[in-house]
Amino acid sequence: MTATESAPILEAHDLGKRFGDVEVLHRVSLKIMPREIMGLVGQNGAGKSTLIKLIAGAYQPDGGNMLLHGKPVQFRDPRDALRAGIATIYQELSLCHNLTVAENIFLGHMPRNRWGVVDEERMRREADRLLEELGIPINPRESVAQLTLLERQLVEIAKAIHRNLDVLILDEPTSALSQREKSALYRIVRNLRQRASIIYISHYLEEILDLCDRVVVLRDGEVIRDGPTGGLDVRQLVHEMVASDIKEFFPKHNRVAAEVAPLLTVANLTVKADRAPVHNASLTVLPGEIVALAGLAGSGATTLARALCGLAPHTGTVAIHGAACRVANSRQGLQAGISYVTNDRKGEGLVMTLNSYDNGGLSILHLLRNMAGIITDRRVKISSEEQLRTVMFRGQAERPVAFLSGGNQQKVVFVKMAHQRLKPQVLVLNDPTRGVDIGAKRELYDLLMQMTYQGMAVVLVSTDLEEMVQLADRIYVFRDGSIVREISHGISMRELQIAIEQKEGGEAQ
Amino acid sequence: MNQVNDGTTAIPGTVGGRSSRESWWKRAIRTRYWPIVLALVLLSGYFSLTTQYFLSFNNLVTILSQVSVLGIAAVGETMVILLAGIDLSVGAVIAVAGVLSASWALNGAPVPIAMLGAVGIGLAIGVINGTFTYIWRMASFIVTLAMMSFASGMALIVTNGSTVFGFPNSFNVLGSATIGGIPVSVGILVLVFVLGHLVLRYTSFGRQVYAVGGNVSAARLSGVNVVGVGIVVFAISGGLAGLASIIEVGRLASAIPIAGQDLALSTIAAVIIGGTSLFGGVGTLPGTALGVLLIGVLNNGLAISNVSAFWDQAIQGIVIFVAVAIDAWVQRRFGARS
Repeated sequence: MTATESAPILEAHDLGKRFGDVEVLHRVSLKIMPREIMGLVGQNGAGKSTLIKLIAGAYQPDGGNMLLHGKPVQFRDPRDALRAGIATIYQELSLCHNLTVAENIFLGHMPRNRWGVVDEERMRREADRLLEELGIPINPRESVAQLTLLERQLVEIAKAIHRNLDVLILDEPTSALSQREKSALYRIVRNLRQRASIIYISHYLEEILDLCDRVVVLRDGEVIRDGPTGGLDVRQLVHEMVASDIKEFFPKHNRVAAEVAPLLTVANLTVKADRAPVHNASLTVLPGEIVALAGLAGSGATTLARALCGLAPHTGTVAIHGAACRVANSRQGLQAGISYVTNDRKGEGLVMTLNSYDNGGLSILHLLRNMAGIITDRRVKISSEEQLRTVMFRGQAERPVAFLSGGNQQKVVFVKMAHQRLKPQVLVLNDPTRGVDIGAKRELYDLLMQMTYQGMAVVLVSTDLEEMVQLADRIYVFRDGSIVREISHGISMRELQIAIEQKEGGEAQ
Repeated sequence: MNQVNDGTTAIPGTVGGRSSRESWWKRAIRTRYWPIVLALVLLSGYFSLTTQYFLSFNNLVTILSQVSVLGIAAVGETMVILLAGIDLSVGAVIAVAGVLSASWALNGAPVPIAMLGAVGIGLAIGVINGTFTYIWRMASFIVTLAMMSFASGMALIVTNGSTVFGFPNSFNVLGSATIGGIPVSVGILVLVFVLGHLVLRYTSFGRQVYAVGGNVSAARLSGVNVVGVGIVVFAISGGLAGLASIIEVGRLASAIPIAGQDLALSTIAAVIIGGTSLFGGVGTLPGTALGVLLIGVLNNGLAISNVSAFWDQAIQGIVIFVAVAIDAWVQRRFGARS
C-alpha cells in the first residue's frame, strides 16, 4: 500500500444535527478508508439514518465539517454528493420500473451514436460488461418491473458504480431478503470493495461482523465504538448499542390474566395471494393484550394483519367477542371495531392536502354531523383538537399535514384510527413508530398502554424486533404463511430473531 | 367561534397567532385568489374605460346570463376535478339532453316532464361515467372522452343533424325569462353555486370528496365509500350539464345538435383558473366562480369592444395563461395554500 492509499477517503469531524429541540447527532466523527467495508449499527433513533443523510447531502449539518480526499466539502443536496462520488442506496429504491436494466443504469447519460440517437447496442454491451464484472447475473434487456427486490437492489448498485464513485452507502440492503438472496448480496458487496469504500447499515449484527472490516456503533447520537470487527461478538455489540436504561424506554405493561374470554378470535384465516399468502392461521387476542405477529418479509404476518382490517380478501372467520363479523373491506372492518394504523403514512395514512383536524375527523364524519346533517369546520376542529391533545401533538394543526414531522403525522394517524368516538375494540398496528423520533415514540407507547388499560386488544406488526419483544404479551411467529410458534413475553431480541430466521437458513443448506 | 378561540382549547405548540402576526398584505397574498381577482379588476377597468357599455348593471347581468351554462357545468366539473378526475362529456351532454328533451316537448310531452328528462339524461350519463371510472377502474379521461364522442354522435343521429324548434314557448322559461329584470338563468346559476358550495363545505359528502381526491387509499382506510362518492360526483356533473342544456335551449328557443361543442374545455379552464388542482383534493367553488367570471368578462368585453371575433380565442388563451402562470409563481414564492 502506498501512502496515499492509506489516507482516508472521507473524514467527518464533529458532525452535529438537531431537529427542533431534539439533538439527533452530537459531535460525531468518523473516517472511511479506501477499500473498506464499514458497518454502522445502532438502535432505531440512534442517529444512523441522520448520519448517512448528512454524508450523502440530504441534510446539512448544524456543526462540524467533512473532508473528501483531504479537501473540505459541503453538499447542498444529494446530487451534489453524487457528483463528488458518494452514492446512497436507500430502502425505498429509485429505479424507473418501465425502463430496462440497461436504460436505468445509463439514465441521464446514455451513449449516443453519430446521429444523436441513443446507441442501444453499445448501452447494452457496456451494461452487460459492468454487470458481469460485478458478478450480477441479470440480463440488461430485462424490464425492471420483472425483477425481484434483490435484483433491483443490484441494478441500483450497478447504476451507482457506473458513476465512478468513491463511497457507496447501503442502507439496510438485506432487510427484505431471504437467506439465499442475502448470501448472493454479500458476495457482490465483497466484490465491490475493489471499486469503492462501503458504509453498510444493518440491524443484523452477524451480518455486520461477517461482512465488515470495521464497525461504528451509534447510541443516542454519539459514537460509542469505532474499531475492527475482529474478535467482537454479537453480545458485545448489542450491549453497546442498547443503553442500560433501555428497559425504561418502554412503558410498563400490565400483563393480562389468561382466564379472560378473548376479544378477537381468528380461525382458519387464509389469504390466497402471489406474494405473502396466509394458510389457515388461527389466533386469539385478549382484551388489554398486545399480540405481535413476527416474521420475515413475505412470511404472511403483515398480510394477516391487513386481512383483519378488510384490506386483503380472505376466507376463514374473524370474531369479536365471539360474534363472527364480515370484514371484506375497511369500512366493514371499522364497523366491526377493527382499526388499522398503517406503516405507509403518505400512501394510505393521511390526506396530505388536508390539515390535522380534517384528517383526524375523517373516520368519524358520520358522527360529526349535527341534527341538520351539517358538518362545520368548528365541529371537526373541536373533536380533533381534544384527541390531538391526548396524543401530545406538537405541530401546526391548521396547516396541511404534509408540513408535519413524521412523529406528528403518526400521531394524527393514531387520532384518526383510534378516535374515542370511533370506539375501536381492536387496534392493528403496522410498524407504528417507523420514522418517528425517540420522544414521540415513547409518547406513542404510553398512548398504546392507555388504550390497553381501557380493554382494547392490540395486534402489532413491526420491523423493529425490540418493539415487539418489549411491548407484546405474546408473539406469533410466521413462516411461509403459517403460524409456526407462539411465544410468551420475556423472550430476548436475539431469541426472537433466531425464531424468525431459524428454519429458513436450515433449509437452504 | 368564541369557543374555538378561547385559550383552553388551544393545542400546545400550535401557532394560533400565525395569521395575526402577519401583515395584511402577506395574508392577502396567501389567499389563493388574488391573481384572478387582480386580472378581473384590471380587465374590468380596461373595458370600463374603453367602452361605455361595460360598466352598467344591465351589462353585468348580461355577463352572468352569458356564462350561466358554462358556470352550472363548471360546478360539477369542479367536484370531478377535486376527485382528481376529469369530465370531458359535459358539452356533449348539453347537446344530447337539449335535443332529446326539446323533441319530446315538440312531440307533446308536458314541458316539466321534458325538462326533468333533460336532467335525467345527464344523471344517467354521469352514473355511467362514474361506474366505469370507479367500479371498472378505467381512467375518467378515457371514459368521458368516449362518452363525449358517443353522446355528440347521438345528438346528431336523433335529429338527423337538424335543429329542433317549434316546441312550446314555456320550454324557454329557464333560458330567456326574467323576473324583476333578473334572468331566471342567472338565478339558477347563483343557486347552483351556493348549494354546491354548501355541500362541499358543510356536509360529510363534501369532506369525503376532498379526502378521496387528496388520497384515495387513506380515504378508503378511513371508512369512506370511495366508489359511492365517485359515482355520485360524476352523476352531479352529468345532472348539472343536463340542467344547463335546458337553459342553452331556452336562450336560443331551439336545440342545436352541435351545441356545447367546446364547452368541456372552457369549463375545465374556468375550474383550473379558479385554483383547483388537477391532482385533486385542493380547490373551492368560489374559486371556480372567479374563473367563470374571468372568462365571462373577457368574452363580453371583447365583444362590445368590437374586437374581431378572430382575436377572441387568442386573447382568451393569453389571459388564461397569464393568470395561471402568476398563480404558479405565487405558489412557489410564498407557498400559498387554499
